[in-house]
Amino acid sequence: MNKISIVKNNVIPFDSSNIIICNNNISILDSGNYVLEYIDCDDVKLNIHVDKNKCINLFEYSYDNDISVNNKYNIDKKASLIINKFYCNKNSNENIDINLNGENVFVKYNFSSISNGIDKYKINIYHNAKKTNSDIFNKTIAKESSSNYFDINSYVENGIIDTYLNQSTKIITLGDSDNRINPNMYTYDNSTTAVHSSVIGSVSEDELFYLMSRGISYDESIRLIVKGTLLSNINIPCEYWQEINDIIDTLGGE
Amino acid sequence: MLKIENLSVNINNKQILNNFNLVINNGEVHVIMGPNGVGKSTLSRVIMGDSNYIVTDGSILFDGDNLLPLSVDERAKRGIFLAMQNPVEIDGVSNQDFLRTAMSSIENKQIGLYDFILSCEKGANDLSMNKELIHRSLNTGFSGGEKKKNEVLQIKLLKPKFIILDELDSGLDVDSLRICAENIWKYKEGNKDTSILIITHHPKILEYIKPDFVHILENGKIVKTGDYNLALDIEKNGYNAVTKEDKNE
Repeated sequence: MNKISIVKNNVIPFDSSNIIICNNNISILDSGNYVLEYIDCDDVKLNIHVDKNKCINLFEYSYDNDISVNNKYNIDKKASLIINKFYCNKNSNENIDINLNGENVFVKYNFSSISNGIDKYKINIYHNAKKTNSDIFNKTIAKESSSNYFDINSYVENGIIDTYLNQSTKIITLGDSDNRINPNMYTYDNSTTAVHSSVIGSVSEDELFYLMSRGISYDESIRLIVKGTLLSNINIPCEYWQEINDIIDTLGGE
Repeated sequence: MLKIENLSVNINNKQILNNFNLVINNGEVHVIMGPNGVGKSTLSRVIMGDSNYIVTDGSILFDGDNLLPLSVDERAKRGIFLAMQNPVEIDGVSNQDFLRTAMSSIENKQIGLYDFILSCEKGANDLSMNKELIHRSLNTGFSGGEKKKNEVLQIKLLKPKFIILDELDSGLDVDSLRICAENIWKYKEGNKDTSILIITHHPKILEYIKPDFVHILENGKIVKTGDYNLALDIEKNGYNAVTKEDKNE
């Protein structure tokens, strides 16, 4: 696994034949598993380039930052990028662009987060070539008094045929919080397949009743549901598994 | 074991149970039958503690203790198990995590992984259940039969002393019904004091789980009580014919 650390908004250079790092431009040249971790960051701007024909699994992790992120992902022809991402920040303000630049490019974006403060996410997916696929899955646990705003925009111009757009966002509220999801699919080509779902709500009473009817306490039931929601959405590298579990465990029964 | 006295229950300001009475002693098997909408499932949910159902009068005693102030999980820890008609699907919560957490809660100690796996495998084998289901999200994408087998697996793992089967037979093919019911009966034979309350429309399940009493529920109360033959009579002649004589009296 190649780990790229972003410390105080800058990429820490390291020797690797798989990656070229120049300032905050990251070119990934070989297929494989990569990690991006944000440490003590407040304003990050990265350009991430995935070379043609490569299959990249990228795990992104940010904990306890008060962070603004403006990242661009450029994916070349016949490449695929799977992003698994976990945030638990003080506040997050994120604006990312995902450019699907070549035929048969595929992006899968799995994002799980715990919201403590004000979190704003704007995710733009540009289908710039035919037969491109995007799958966007966001799952958030909104703690008491937090705010979550998702603006997800998928773009397909006329003539970009046979694209597939999928957006799914779910926010589970633990107490009073302010939440909004805007799923937008701007497609000007009739051959596009578009699917979306957006859900905001508290933990289901039926689910709670079922778990508690098996002797599981209210707090533990909430913890199981929250954990299941967040962890089922992302693949986590072993190195981060315990840390993320510990973060989620602090949520039970709030 | 269970004593229900003068129980009246509302939901959404509509009375469902009306001055309902029932006593179930240790080791007994009782059956509640009745047309749709007379309060059979309400009874099961009230015993389990569903807060959507408001008890307006009466009491439920379990082993002599008042059940009504207890939360749902506390009732389960006392040994009450409700096998639900439509087990809820919980995406993301693995069946394995759920089962182990439930066992640890009921037994009030952390269940070791090795013991847990052994228990699960044995239970799944007994039920001719696909072991993959243990690792999937809880009930998510399970067939009707698989969901019911998962309920019975929970009975085997959690070892309750009072089991409510709310239309266990709905959504089950004949083979799956036989397997589920035989497993429950075998569990009961190994736990002689365990009592069972069966809610059903069909007497088929009673070929495997032998009832001591069969009750007919109408308008929120029991209107007739008999034995297994009453269930057969209902299937043959219908509720109206069976209760007509009593109503005329």
